[in-house]
Amino acid sequence: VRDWFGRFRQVRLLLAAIIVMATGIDANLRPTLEGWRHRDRTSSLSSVEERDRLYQELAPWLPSAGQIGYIPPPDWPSAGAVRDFFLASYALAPRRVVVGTAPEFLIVTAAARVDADTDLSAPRSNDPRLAGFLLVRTSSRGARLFRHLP
Amino acid sequence: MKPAVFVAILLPSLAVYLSLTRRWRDREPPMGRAMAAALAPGFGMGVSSCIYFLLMTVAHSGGRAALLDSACWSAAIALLLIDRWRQAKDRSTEAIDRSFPHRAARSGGNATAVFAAALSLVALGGLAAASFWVQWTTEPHGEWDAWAIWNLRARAIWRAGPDWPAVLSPDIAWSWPDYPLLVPLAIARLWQYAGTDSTAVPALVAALFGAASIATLAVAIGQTCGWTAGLLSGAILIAPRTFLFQAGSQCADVPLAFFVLAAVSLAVAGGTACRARRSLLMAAGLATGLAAWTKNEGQLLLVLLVTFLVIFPRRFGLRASWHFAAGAAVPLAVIAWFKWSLAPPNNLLGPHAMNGALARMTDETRWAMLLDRTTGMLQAWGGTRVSALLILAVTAALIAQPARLAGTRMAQGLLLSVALLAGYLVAYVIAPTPLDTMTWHVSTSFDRLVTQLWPTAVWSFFQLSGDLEGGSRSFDALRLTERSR
Repeated sequence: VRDWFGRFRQVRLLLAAIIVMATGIDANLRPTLEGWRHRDRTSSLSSVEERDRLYQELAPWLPSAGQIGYIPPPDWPSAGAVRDFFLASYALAPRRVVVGTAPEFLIVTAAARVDADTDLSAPRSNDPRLAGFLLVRTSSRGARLFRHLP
Repeated sequence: MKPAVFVAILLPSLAVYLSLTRRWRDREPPMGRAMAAALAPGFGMGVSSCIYFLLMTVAHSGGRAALLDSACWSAAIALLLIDRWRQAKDRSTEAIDRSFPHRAARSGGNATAVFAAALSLVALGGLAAASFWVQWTTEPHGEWDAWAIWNLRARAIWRAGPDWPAVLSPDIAWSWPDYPLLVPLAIARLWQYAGTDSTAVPALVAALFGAASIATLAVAIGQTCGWTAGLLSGAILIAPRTFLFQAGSQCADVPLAFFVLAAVSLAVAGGTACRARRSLLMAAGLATGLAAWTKNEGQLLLVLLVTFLVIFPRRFGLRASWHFAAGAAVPLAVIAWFKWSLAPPNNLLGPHAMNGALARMTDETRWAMLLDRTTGMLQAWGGTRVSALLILAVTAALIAQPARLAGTRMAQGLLLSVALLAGYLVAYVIAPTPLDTMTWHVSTSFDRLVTQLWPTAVWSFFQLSGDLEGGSRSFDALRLTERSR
């Protein structure tokens, strides 16, 4: 009886191992392969990496700390707009990016642009929100950095 | 990745390993080497984060702090090695007393069963590594919460220099600046050693805590219940997709899960072991303190474990509380300093948010919605075809060989897990948010809360395999202790 029970115990252990392995492979193999194929198909940067680089381009013209103003796009506070704002904070840390035009430096993303008739490199914008601000830098993807005139 | 990063990980890990395996009292055997090796990288990362916080506060510069940090750890290792050499000389003729959890248990099955369990772990471990790699190369900055909270804070600390406390400004309240700093400081410290803020470092920290969770669980189960169960427990830990995803997300939930597992398993083992209980309870205290320094949820674990020690005084004794407190002292002092002098109040549970908490607590609509939503999410947790909790229960039933002491350990582990989960639910309900915001909050965070408890749930269920191995000396020692009571 003891031998029989011992054998039965081994069967139970084997069964447990098979269940665990099958569950793990079933749950993880397909998403991992899909992720792998997606990664190979899209050689471009992740959206976070892309936004990180965009804002990093402006960093050399900003003070090393303190508040930086940010004009959100018209669809604020949609998930995409909020994500973009958070990414600006992430890229420019330890500077604190805040919504509004009160700080001395101000970032206007391409999506937030309402002065379509103004040239991107023009020193002043005809956007009424940017009255009193002077263009400092335009990034390669159309984000602009303004500084408040003293 | 620069070798300096590995040196920065190795220094505290080695110091923690030497401390855990040190014989602190003549009659007390030290913690087993396998368990100490499994715990050392995670504990090392946590303790070095606490020390780095103090050094940053004193030195006002990351560079100076890193220099002092390396000097502190090198000195600690040198002292511990000298002490070990002295102890070895004193005891050269004395047989080393090794009890729980020092001596490895028997395999607990025939070669086929051990091979099957090992194969499960190796296969799922390989798949986990591949999944982690794909996730990191696709999202090198981590998932949303990782870059918006943890990596943002790490970047800000690393780049800010002496003005680093400014990164806790209410200006970025959306980034939860009151969250504890174990993970951001661990990353900032490694960046300081590396001299660059490479995205590989947060991924390395995430991988380290994921691997440490598997190792700690497998060793904790393996040494009390046999290696077949130990290997199988490691495999089932990484079977659910959700756990693997969270491990690779670079958020703080898997690090917290590691500390919760360590704290609960060591505290319960400390209550049932006949010897080595002081070192186990000190390590449990340290794990609890580090859990509280990882996320605010860890502070609930602290309250629960202290209550646990008070409720079971016969099992633990008053002295045990002191050992637990001694282990938790450094992280708790750091948290107290951080919370009282630097961090803004929590948006959801701060003093201002307590107005109307009682009304929300007794609001049936909130509870009905919460229980409905969380029950469904709990059943679906894991991303497995059948509920991961059901798979765990079936696996535990298949390997079960119930025994009284094993049942006690399981009950205590599950009691603590359920109490933590209940605490999380209460926090959802009393948070000053409207019903729809609470629903959104639950939908976006409950999976992560379950992830925090998953390793402890696996540890608790696998206690059922205790007698399966019958004959392990360590387990016999535990059973004798129980009988003598």
